[in-house]
Amino acid sequence: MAEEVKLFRTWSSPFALRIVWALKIKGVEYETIFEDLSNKSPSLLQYNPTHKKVPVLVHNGKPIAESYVILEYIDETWKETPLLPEDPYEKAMARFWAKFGDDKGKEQEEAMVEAMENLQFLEEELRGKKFFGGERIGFVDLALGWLANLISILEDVAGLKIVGEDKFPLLSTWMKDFADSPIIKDNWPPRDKMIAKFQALRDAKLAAAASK
Amino acid sequence: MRLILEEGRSTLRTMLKTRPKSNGFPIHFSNWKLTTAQAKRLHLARRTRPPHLELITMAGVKLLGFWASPFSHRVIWALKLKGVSYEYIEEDLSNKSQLLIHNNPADKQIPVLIHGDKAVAESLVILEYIDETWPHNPLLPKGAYERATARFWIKFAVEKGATFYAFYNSNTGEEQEKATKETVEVLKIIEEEALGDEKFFGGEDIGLLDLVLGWFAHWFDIIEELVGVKVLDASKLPRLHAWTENFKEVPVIKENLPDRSKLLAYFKHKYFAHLPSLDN
Repeated sequence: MAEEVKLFRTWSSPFALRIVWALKIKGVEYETIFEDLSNKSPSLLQYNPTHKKVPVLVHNGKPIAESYVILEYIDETWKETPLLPEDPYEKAMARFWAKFGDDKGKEQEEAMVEAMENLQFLEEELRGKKFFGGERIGFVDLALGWLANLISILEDVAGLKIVGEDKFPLLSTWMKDFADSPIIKDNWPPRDKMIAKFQALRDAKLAAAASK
Repeated sequence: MRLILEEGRSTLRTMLKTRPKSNGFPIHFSNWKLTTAQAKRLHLARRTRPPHLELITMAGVKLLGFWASPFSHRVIWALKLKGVSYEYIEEDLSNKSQLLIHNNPADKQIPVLIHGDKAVAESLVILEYIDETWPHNPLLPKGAYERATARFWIKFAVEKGATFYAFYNSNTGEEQEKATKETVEVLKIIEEEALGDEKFFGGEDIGLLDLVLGWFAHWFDIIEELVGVKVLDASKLPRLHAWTENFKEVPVIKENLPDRSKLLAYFKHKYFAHLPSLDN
């Protein structure tokens, strides 16, 4: 059967990055369509009419939206190199931590203290493991991966150490291991572009705060 | 083969020891010489209805919940639909138990499902865990694409929680108008695209999405009463309204809803507690 897999994404979306990693880990051939969110293509509007957002995966003409929904679909459709564990409890744990990472990730920009606590939970999770998925990258690593990239960029931009090696030895190591993994390494958005983006965001925030 | 009960299992063990020798090919049970007692037990094991499957649950199941919470009820409905027996533990949210704090340190929220020595938190994660651990009467469809569709609408329903919350929290007339309009829009999308012409979101029978949206059938009209605006009525949203009626008629749901007057009193208290003070 001729498989046709298309991924609609933007260059910097962390949610789309998870899908790229998953497809590459599974060795699935796919076509990338980059979207300009200020000028969305008719295809995107047709494939995701409810949200008009990326990422959207289109498999043999059938669209799937929402990054976690797409990840689970990918895991169920292409069985090689599973992302989620077999055991229902392990699966539940992976899903819980993925959701936790997403929920808490957004708050991190606002509350450093709470962020530390939440990072502590993740640090605990890594005990005795190289990746959240165990020996190999799994569902939770893909879910939290964007955090690793974002944190390192924020550390550059803000000049602060967020995930210090002394406080979070396992997380620091994980961030490096994850970023150095073959597939992940080749699929980061360009670092200089990311730094420029966050520098601009930070300057805007500081300006807004100063003018209050 | 998880559906083989302890009784059936021990019967099978005996049978396997005394089975006729084969040349490697599987032998149908009808060729085996069973004693009447063995046949009876095996027959019972194979024909037994779900409630007896609690025997597989050799580890106990506990649910930490809160009587007024729709999230708590989703899990109750799922467990009951699967015929899983469990111990329900009511949590006092103003004075959380050690059991809750210990089993969900990250969130300290209900519901939490404790299965043997394993604890699962987050109602949606719990629902998928239940569906996978007790696979009979499946809550999610079989095909990957259909599952993805169900999960997409579940995420949509969860995300739009903010819209419904705004409706509940709207103070001024202008806020209320805006929140009402947005709520109607969201419900229209759910009615048109997620429900369509089906009886339930799961099709002929209720599925995961029905459980997730279940709060509309019993909690939402209380909110409408408090806010003073009717949104989900038969004229504006006929199919969705019909769904709320059909959903509440499903025996497992009907028998597992919190008392409406108690619920109204509870939300009334909360609702008026956060309105701006009248004496400035």
